[in-house]
Amino acid sequence: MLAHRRATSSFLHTARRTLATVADSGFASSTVEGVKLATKEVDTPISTLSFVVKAGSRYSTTPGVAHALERYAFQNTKTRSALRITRESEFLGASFSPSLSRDAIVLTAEFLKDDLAYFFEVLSDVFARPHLARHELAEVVGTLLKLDSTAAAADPSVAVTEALHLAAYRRGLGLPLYAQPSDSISATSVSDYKDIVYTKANLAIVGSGISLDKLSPLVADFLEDAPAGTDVPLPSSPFYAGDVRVPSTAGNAVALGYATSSSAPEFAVLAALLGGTPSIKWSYGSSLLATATQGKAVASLTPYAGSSLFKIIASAGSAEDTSAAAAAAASVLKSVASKPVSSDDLKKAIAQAKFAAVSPLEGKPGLTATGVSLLTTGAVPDTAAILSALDSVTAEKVKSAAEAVVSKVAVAAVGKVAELPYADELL
Amino acid sequence: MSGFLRSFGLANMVTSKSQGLAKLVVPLAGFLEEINGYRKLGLRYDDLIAEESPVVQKAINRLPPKEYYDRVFRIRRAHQLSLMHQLLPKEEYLKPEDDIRYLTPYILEAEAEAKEREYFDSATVVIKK
Repeated sequence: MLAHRRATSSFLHTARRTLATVADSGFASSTVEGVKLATKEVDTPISTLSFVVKAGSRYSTTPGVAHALERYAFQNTKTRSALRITRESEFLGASFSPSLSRDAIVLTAEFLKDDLAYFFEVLSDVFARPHLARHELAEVVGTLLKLDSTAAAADPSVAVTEALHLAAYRRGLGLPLYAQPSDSISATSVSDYKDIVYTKANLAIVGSGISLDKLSPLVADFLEDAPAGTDVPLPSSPFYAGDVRVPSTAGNAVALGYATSSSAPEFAVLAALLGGTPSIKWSYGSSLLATATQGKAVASLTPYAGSSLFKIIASAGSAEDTSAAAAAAASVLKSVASKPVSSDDLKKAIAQAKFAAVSPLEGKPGLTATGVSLLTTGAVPDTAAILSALDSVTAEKVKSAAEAVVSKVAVAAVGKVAELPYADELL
Repeated sequence: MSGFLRSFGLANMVTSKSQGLAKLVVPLAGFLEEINGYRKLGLRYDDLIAEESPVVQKAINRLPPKEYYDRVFRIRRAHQLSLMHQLLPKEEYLKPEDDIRYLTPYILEAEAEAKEREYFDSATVVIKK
């Protein structure tokens, strides 16, 4: 009884917590020689340095070229061979992790604090002086591209997310993240794309465990000969509704999506309200979708620069179960659209939406998010503004967000498409 | 297997540093290439490099598709001529200016890579005090 009462009181204390106690994202930023810098000083022995480049798949000049450029990272450069980069980083103790999203190519190095100058030099070699040799495409990069796209196609939830982007955006954000076997990628097309995007105007350098004073002189030392370039414009991403159906043997999945302008906190709250992702292992959770579909459907909001994609993904093994889960998810969505939710449910959803919005700003993903924000808005993410925007969401706004999704929706189906539902059959 | 790098280093040294020696050696090399006779079969000098080594195999695989095709064509034509105990018509002999070292840069690159790998495989770490 006592324990129960204590738990309740601590819960209330947390619920009452005000904005003043929430720290901002902790990044200090500046611009040196046209390169945007942001660092977070954390007192740890490991530093993380990310070169975030505005070069994600939405900027691709020919399909798949962004993926190829990402996979060319840490191959031969004009100053260091791929083998030298690998062996030297092994001698010093470090790890490299290039990554690709629709917004950015991110070159990340994690290393011991004292080795900052060396790893800054390696990352600037990869960024400013890559070789992009033709034989590397045949010997190394091409194989990796095939591996990535095969792995993505083998996972029904990844495949359905890709198909949903295509249905919702068509071009721009709708372009596939990974190079497809039908894409004709050559070393020349990758090199042309590199000339457009790998420039100082499209680069943000974000670090954690590094001070801004130490980072600034390195930019002048190692990125002096990098081309200044021009800021690549953000392609517009209007929302289209419709169906995309991909026959596949990987499994069955259905996704419903709605694209909104990037600052739409009511959709973040709607995604948290519908939920479906358990916060504890071996349970479905108590969210609306979790109870209606036993964890077979999950709602989420994926933010991009200029647009956010609200989506519900249903996947349950067989085509029959997947169709049933998708139908159940659609009816939950319709019930949210028909009447405002209770204030308790709303409070819970807002708290979860806050966590979901701010937790990707931490750690390694946080460096990417900060870099993308610097490149597209010119400032580091304003945590306090994000949280207060979520606080101001009302039940009425959530209801109208759900109504918007019900009235215009993009639907993607992957698997045995003959048995899976169409958009007009779901809503 | 650093033979190509070494001989090319030597050739570069002779032609760039020792003008007197270059004046003697370069025409002699041209003369030897001419009397060797491979140009009469339409071959280039780089077609004669023994390809039975991992380095040269790698270099051949890295040739641009057109260069690769042309190489195979020249070698097959030379085989055919050799079988028939014939030479090309005189006007189709390979001209000295067309005798391009198309494969050598790839061989040198592949050999430098192999050398670097050998260096790193046998490197010893010295910790600074």
